[in-house]
Amino acid sequence: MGNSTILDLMISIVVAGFLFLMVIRINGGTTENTFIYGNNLTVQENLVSFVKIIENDFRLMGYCADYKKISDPSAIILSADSNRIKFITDVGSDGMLDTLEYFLGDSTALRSTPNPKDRPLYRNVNSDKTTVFLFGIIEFKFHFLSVLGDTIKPPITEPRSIHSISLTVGLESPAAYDKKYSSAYWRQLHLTSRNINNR
Amino acid sequence: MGKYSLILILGFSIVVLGLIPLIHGRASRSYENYIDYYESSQARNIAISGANFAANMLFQNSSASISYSNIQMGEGSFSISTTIQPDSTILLTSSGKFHRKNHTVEVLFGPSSFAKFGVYLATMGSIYWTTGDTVRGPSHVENILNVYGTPVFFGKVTTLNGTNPSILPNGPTNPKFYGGYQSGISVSMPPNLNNLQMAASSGGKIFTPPASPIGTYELYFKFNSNGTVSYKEYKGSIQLFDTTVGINQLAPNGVILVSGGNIKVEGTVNGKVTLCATSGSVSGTGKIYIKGNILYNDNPIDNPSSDDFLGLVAEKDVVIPLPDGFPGTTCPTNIDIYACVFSRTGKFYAELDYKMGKLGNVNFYGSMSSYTIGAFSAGSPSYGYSNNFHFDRRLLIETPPYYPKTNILEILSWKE
Repeated sequence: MGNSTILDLMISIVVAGFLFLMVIRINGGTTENTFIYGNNLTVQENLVSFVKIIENDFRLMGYCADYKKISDPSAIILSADSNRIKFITDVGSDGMLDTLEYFLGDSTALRSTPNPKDRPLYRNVNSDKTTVFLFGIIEFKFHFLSVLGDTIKPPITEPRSIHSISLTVGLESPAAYDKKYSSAYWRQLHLTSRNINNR
Repeated sequence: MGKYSLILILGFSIVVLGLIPLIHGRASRSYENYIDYYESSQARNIAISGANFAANMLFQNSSASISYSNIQMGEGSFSISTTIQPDSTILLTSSGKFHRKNHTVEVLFGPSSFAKFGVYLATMGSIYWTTGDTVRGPSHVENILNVYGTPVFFGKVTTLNGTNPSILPNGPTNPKFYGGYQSGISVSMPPNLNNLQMAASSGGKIFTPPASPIGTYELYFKFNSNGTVSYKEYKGSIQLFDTTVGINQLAPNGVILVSGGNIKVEGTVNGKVTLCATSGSVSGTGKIYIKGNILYNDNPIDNPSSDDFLGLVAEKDVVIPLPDGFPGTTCPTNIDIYACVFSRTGKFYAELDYKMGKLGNVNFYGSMSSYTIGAFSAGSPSYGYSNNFHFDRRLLIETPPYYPKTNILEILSWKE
């Protein structure tokens, strides 16, 4: 009996050991999954929210509730570069002309996040103030095409020549689990407004 | 101890069972997030398709009244309707629906005028836009656009039958279409100027030639900066009338039409007026001669809000003539013309003679529409004027009174 008890005890310790190892391993896996799924969700939700805003902004490029205020539909885009654009629009559809600018900041502006690649995106309405609109951007790149489909390479000295725009946006989570960052990408190949050159 | 192990396993299983839905829930929310975006995009695309359908109907028939509901498109539907606005513009509303999402597109249409073209040509004939040519403002050719080298077009370019060469760029030919380019667009010259005739007869002023004396019927208008116009009426060499009167008194709606005669014009315009010369059945008439500078009292280059507009609408040519007494009288070095020029069957050109020599510029600020393209210089070495054309951007919004319309609608704004 004494031998049997000792054997039971030893088996129990081994089983318990296995179980503890499993629990630790599963706990680690669960934590990782929870973190990654959570990050994925956050990144994707941020991307979708951002894309909805930027699609709306770009499709209203050159729009004004008071159309008479758009005197030159070919001069809607004021300036453009590979990660910057400024154009005329009517934010809020109140009949007042506004300028809207998107541009990507420098990665050094987000040193507080563990992600070394993420950069801030700025969206300025009628202002030169640099208000961060979105964090976690790792790619925000425009590709401009002329009316004949030719690529217009920066620096763009004549923004009137821009006929359509493709935009690639990449987001990454600011923090990682085991150096794995969650990321999401979106690309629109033909982002333009019907108000450009409509007359 | 075996019992405790079982309890441990059970407890662990319960914890895992609790976590799985959490992880699963996050995955589902990611998917729902994607579905939400997809449905929104589909609803918007359906609304845009509906707007395109309706826009096409309006382009085919500008007076069409459109009202359709729940037109099925894929798994969604759209409803389209048009309403006439108080300013006579047409508001098209297209509502797209896809599953749980709705999206509305609003498009505003308005009548299009020939004044919106920096350069309109029914045909270019054998003339080419070449390197060094700059066309400002929208332009249209109701035939083939001839280009060679790298002419620059700052406004939107439309043509009916494409370009020559047909594929661009082509060798040294690479025109710069900074305002966009579209082929297959037809904007034909009106078959007559009856609309102006009607406007002149109801609220404007019509001049018609008396039976005698014999000779060409002519009206000479000199606009004064105080809003009046001094005009003289001639038949042949006989002066019939000479007076000065306010533009608004002479033609309350701003339309002055000479039927069966020619117009000579110069001066400084203060107000909104359209001069029109029709030939009727009288040969050699229906022309407008620009006898000197034509300016606006409130210069739109300095003040884009200027409300001075002049339309020069001719059945035949619009001409910068040699001066009376030429060559004894020399030609002006430069000529400034602020106006919208429309030549229904002719061209806008300068009378040229080698004795005039090489002069300065025709500084033109406005809009030019003609059947063919005219010349301001000729010869080698050349004599005449260089052309310095600039488009008056006010004309995208406002035009001289009753200026010829294209009879097709244009999109004024597109909100989606």
